[in-house]
Amino acid sequence: MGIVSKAIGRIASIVLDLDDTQLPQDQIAALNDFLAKHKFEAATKNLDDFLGMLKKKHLVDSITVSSAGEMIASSEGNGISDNFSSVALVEFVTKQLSKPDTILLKMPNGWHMIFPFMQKIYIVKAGTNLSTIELKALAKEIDAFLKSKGIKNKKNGKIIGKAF
Amino acid sequence: MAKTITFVSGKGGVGKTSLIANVGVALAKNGFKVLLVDADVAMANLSLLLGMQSSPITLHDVLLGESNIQDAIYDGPAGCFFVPSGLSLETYRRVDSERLEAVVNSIEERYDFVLIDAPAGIEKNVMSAIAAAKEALIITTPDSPSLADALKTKLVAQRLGVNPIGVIVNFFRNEKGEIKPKDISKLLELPVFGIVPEDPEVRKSFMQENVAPVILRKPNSPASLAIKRIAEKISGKSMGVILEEKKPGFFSRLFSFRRKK
Repeated sequence: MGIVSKAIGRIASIVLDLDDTQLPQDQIAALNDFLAKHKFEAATKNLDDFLGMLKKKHLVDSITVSSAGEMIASSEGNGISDNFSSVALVEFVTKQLSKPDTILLKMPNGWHMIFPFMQKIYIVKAGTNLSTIELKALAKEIDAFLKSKGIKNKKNGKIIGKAF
Repeated sequence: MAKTITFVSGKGGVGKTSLIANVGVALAKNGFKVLLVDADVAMANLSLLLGMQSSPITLHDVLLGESNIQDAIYDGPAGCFFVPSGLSLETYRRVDSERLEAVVNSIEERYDFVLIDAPAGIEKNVMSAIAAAKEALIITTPDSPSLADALKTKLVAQRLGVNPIGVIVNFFRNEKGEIKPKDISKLLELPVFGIVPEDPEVRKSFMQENVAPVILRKPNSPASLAIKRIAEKISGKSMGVILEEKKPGFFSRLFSFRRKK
């Protein structure tokens, strides 16, 4: 009985054209456009291009990486001053309180985030604050890239990129 | 080491919690050691769907650092294990969801599968649930609002370094206006892990005195068969779904009888 009534119902819905739904083509096209704007190719070997790609991918304004007090990568030209102030701030907080997971500073023009991770300090600026999880993901990507660059530039004894 | 997978959708109401409960039970019934984690720290539903809403120690207590994860693991249906989230709004306000990754890492090696139920949205708690796993399964319904959210969720997973392994299309009715699974796959650039048809038995399974996932209550319903196929795909182990599906229907049997004559 169940099979027969199901079959009759199916035939009736086709004959009477009861399914009046339509595929929303415009909306699908909009989703395709959205997707096209969010493609991030990580295949580049150039540090500047890589940091530029990461800025778009992680929706941040600038990225600076510091190791042992020295700036080793920056997506912007002003990375040196960010580096000095951030390293000093991490030292201060560590000394006065304890080792921080993240230092978040709300500035008039957005957020200034300082994230110590794997013997490096990542300084990220963005309009909104990133969670520690997001900062860690960003740091991991940079760390992996720098390591691969480091291996490539081993002859020079240090990592070298255009942005230094 | 366990395969850790977060079930995530972006949009709420796509049947994610029901799917994870059923997939977990399907895997457990087939001999796998499965841990289900309700990572929806604000709107815990998985415990209700599993009929385990009275658990004294929850993920809230663990994320607050007040309990050990071991004390928050309970025996679930069909031999699976379960970490419930808390229902309390007070503890929710104090919970640090970012600790979830470390919590999952500390226990994952004891299980074959750790399946994490993520909240809806793309806020911090969702990111914590995604980042706690190595892989993500995106759940969507075949309509554009759900697909738009699935798309954003996939991008978030990639941003967090988590591998989106596929998409599950839930509540599929095969209507003209639905976005077809192959088009969903193309748009998300992910393989379709399963298509679960709209099945009233899923809803009815949670409207019982003794709540039980549909896969236990009606194991041969269309949704249950589709869920078993998903579990097969996740585990790589056959669960006999193909045989059940190929059982010939009335007309097939009639025509085969005529052919024999």
